[in-house]
Amino acid sequence: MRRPVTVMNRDSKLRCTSWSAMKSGWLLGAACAAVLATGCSVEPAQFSLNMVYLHTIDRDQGETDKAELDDNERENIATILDALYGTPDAPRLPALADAETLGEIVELSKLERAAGPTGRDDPQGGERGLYRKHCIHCHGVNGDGAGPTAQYLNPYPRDYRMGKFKFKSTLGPNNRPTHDDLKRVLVEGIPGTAMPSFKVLDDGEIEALVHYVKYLALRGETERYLIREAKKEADLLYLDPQKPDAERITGMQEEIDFIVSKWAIQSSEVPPPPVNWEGADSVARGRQLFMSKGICHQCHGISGLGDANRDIFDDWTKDFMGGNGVGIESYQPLRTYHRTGKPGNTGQMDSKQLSLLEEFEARGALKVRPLKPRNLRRGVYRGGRRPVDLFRRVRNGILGYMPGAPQADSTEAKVGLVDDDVWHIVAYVRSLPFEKITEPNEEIRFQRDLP
Amino acid sequence: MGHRVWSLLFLSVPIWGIGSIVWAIADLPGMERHWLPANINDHGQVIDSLFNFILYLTGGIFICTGLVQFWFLWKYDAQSNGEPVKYVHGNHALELIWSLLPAVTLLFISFVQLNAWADQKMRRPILSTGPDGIAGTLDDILKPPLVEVTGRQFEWRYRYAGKDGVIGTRDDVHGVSELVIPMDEDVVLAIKSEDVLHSFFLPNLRVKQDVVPGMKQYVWFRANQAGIYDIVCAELCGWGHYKMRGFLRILPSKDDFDQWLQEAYQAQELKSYTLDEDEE
Repeated sequence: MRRPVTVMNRDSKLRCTSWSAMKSGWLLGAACAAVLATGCSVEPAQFSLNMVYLHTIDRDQGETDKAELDDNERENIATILDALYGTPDAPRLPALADAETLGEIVELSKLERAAGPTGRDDPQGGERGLYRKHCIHCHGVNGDGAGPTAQYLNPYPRDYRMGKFKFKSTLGPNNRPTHDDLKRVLVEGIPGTAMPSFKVLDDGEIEALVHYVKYLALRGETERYLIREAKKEADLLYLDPQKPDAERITGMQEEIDFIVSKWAIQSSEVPPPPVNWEGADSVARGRQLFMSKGICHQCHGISGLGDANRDIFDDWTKDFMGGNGVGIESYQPLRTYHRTGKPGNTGQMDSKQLSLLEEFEARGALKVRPLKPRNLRRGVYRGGRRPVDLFRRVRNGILGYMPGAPQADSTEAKVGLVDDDVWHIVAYVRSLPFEKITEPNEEIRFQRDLP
Repeated sequence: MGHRVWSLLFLSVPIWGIGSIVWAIADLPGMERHWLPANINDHGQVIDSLFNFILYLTGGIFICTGLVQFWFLWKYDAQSNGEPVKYVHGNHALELIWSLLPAVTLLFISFVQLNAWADQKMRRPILSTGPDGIAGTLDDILKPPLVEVTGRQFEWRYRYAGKDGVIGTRDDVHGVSELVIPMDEDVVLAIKSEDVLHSFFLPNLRVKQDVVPGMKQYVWFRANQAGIYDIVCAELCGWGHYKMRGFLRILPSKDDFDQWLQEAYQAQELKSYTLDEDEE
């Protein structure tokens, strides 16, 4: 009778394991109870300093051996920024700025709704912590476009801190987008990029987020100004909150007012298209301008596939890589670096340039990438597909990416375009997705059948 | 605390399982809107019937196995049974029963659902029967899709056939997140993906279609109630899967839809802008 013995053994073994399982179960329960009782504390979110810009300024001044601002100086910048703009949990608007202008651009109550951690829903005011719920994983706490998922996206998410936005209806590089421009991007998304549509959010939520984006842009630009000032002033007294200097505070006030004023702007007008716009003649004229005075083909290629010049970089990259005196004459090596992760095999990129890239990457810059001119035959228009949007893209350009059309007084001018010319180019661009890329040549096609 | 606590624990599984389902079906506090939303598709009733049939069948089996398991645990509890374990070497009759019964049941379900599957996947609405005058044959003129749905990380984009009824021409109307369709009309959607696997799910219409990159797939339905309903992605498609939501707006009639489409086209063709317009 072997079996019963085995069974008995097994049984006692089982009892042991079940007992220890129960014991560890109690321990687990106690641990859970402890967590529930004390709560799990998380450090409140903080803005961090724009280290890439700090390093750029160092480089600009040729101070390659001098370290960045010391801890004390950084602390000063952070303290001043905190006094002006608050923290991610408790945002604030600078009291220094002209209240009337600022009030028309950003509203604190809306801003507060988008700020802070998620899960603090106000029964009256609706959901809060919207920025952290919807935006932060790409655009980051600082609005630096370097959130955890940013590195996987192409193009990279927007870095708001320069105050520059690509798709806007205003003219010129110094004019910010209008409120409605930003809102349109949030509601419609940007097709062809990772920016999705947030149409499912209600209007109050979208409004709150638009205000928060503007707030981060204002804050980012002020931060850049403070960094420049901190580097400029030898004694740095200016930035010591303990020793305020009336004259310098006025300077800061003026600068903040200037930063704010760039947002008090209206959309540019769009004249109606000429008669017979989008007719055969209009499209043919657009095509001709596309290849000549419009110089569109230089990047978009003669077939509009976006396959011509690719050695171009956006303003956000040029901000730290361009013109800082380190000597990146051509971006070609960067392109090789981007493609292969190694210095160019023709030796164009020396170890100095490579180490420069690494310096910026170590400070949080995303890997440098050349920009891709759009393939106009796909019929995907990032800045909107309405004729007004396309007109503005061609005439005003895409800030930081694509220059606007050079302006001319008359059609006869050798250089530059008049508004009707721009409309013809729009007509051609709109026809591209429906145009055959090659016209099969009948003679050639049937040649082999000839004797 | 005797060891029979384990048998009671096992008994609690079917009790909790059935209890929570009944609670959800009854829409009681704490589980409101957890059960199926109202069906608003003329073709959706058959899906619900199949679902309920399979749910009750498997639910019944679940209860039976739960009770049998409990009974065995209770009866043969080690502390109250001094007898040694007896081993058996199978029971031919029992094995026949528990193999054949499920096989017959599955075969039965596969026949019962044949028609529903064909309605959902093969019998696309037609415009006309074609030259032979018989519906359901190869020469039928199929109804063209009203909207092309493109899934991409992480949103649904729509392209409506314009006036010409053809998708891919210059009068197409483009949209995002919100899909607008008419009520009491057979609607055909063409669905594709721009990047990865998605699944286009309209819970109220009982329509769910996996979307595979490189494939264009068609679904059709006939909504019988106007209103705003959910669109969700039902296939984990990446880190932003949870935000791949949208709205389905069903307009009361084809006329309303045509008018909406016309207005959307006008808005899409906005050709000029002056500041005065802005202030209005």
